[in-house]
Amino acid sequence: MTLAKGKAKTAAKTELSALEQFLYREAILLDEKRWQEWLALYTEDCFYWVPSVVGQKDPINTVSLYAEDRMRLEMRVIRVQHPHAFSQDFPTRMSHVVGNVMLDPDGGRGADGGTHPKADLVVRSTVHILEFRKDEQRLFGGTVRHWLRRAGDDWQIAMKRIDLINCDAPMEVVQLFL
Amino acid sequence: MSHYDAAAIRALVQADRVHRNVYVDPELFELEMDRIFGRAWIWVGHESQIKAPGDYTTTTIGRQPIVLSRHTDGSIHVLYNRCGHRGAKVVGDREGNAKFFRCCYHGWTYRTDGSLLAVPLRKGYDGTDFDIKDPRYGMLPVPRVENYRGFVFASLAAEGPTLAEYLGDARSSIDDMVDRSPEGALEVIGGCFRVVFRANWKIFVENLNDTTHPMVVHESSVEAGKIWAREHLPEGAPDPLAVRFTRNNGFPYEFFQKLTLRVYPNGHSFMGGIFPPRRTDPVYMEYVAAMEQAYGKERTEQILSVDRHNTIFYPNVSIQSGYQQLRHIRPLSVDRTQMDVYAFRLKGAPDEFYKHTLIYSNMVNSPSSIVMPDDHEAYNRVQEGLVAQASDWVSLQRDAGRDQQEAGWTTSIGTSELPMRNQHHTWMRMMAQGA
Repeated sequence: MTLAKGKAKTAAKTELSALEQFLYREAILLDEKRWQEWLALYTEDCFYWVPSVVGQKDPINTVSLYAEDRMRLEMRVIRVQHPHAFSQDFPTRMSHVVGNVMLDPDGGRGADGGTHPKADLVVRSTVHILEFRKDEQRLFGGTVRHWLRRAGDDWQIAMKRIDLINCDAPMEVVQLFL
Repeated sequence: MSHYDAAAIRALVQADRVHRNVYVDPELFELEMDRIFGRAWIWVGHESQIKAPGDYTTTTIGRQPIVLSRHTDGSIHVLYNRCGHRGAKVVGDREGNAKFFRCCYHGWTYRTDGSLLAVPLRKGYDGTDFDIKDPRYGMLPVPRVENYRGFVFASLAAEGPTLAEYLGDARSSIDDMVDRSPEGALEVIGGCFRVVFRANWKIFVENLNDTTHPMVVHESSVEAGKIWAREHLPEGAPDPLAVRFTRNNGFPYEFFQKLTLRVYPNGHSFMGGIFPPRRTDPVYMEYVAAMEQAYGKERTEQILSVDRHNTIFYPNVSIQSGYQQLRHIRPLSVDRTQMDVYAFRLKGAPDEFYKHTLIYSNMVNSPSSIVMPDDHEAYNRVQEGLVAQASDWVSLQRDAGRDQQEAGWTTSIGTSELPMRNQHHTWMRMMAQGA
């Protein structure tokens, strides 16, 4: 191994580990409901997408569980914190576990639904989300892709796509973010 | 043996109140499956769900498993999803395309019109009364099917009013939805929201034309719209659609009082619109231009002057014609209901205008809607509260006795509980019939 190659490998490793930390940070902000900090991870032109069918091609010809621009993310954040959000009388609790983090080998190709987010890299991960409200808990899980844009020595999320394995299941309402 | 004879059923529904058992007694739920879902015209699908020969989709009528299929000759069939041999459910997935239906158990095979095509070991039936041409061994069609402008309804009862008689002038809301297409046709878009709540189906049906819950139940999303607009928009700037879909629910009682509320025989009704389009919106005006091109100015004006929010076709389907939404109500048990929500494209309308439909789907009808969780919290709490023995009665008294009788329908001020009284009157009539 040449010295230059070794350096590149170390740099890639450092970057992946920083990306992992970034995804963990998002998960913690969601679990701890630190909404303003969570929103700050997203770019002004962000897109937050949860398809309703497996392998969904775009958010136009098929309905989506979430297909949110920044305005709608902000409105949702205002709502869940409102004292008269009756469906949060007993607040929903969530626990995200993020794993299998890797640079998306396909670079997000074919997964952006034709939205072409401006991004420097695409990270792929697996998420398991345990949700609890009132007397019951339920599970969500699936594949996540983050389209990340460099912002100084950090990143911002230009797009997040979450493909739930149970995206087309009959389900009760989902109030928080996945 | 039922505890409920005709007199007992009639005692549950009075002029302006309903007994709590109507919502919580499993025995009444069983009777509803026979006497309401087993008799009424039930929406089973839209013809655009099964465009090509061999296309099929599955659904339920009450709890009966049903296949809706398009046969090779283009005809639409509504079949019981049951094998003529040993009774297995033949079609196992939600939708698809097939040359024929083959039972997974012993391989009996059916044409897409339900007729039996082939059975293995035919000789083994020699000398029995089995006959491959005998419709009894096919996937049986439901007794009656009618298609009104693409909306397919079926009835499990061989006898009864025609669809036109059953819906009466309530059909005008289907016209309203279809006429909004410059080509006079709707097309279902991909995906379906399947949202479950823990309450009796009738609580949701009541809510569809309940005009005095939005300002209370939806306070959190109303405020979200208001606060977002205050923080981001200059004074007097037009609201983005997402803000209007939340904020308008917070209109005062006086606004809702002035809305049209029209009810029909057989439980149907509609209420006036709460999200009227704006003529200052260039996307809307582009759509108006497409309509005028297709229909001319006068007819376009006539079509677009109609503004209806939810229309209920009792008992199982509701449409929002202005934003092309359809909610199919599927009772699962006395205290559990699923609604399947579809959105439609107006054929020939500009793509940008169609995005309004998508925003509506997303904000109002998705399981992750910003609006709906508070509705479902209310339905669930009604179901939990009605278990209480404190009182047997649910009040539906507001503006009782102030209705206006007109030819073919009844109207009232927008905040009346007339639609609920009308639904329960229909419920009582159907439930007492044959009791």
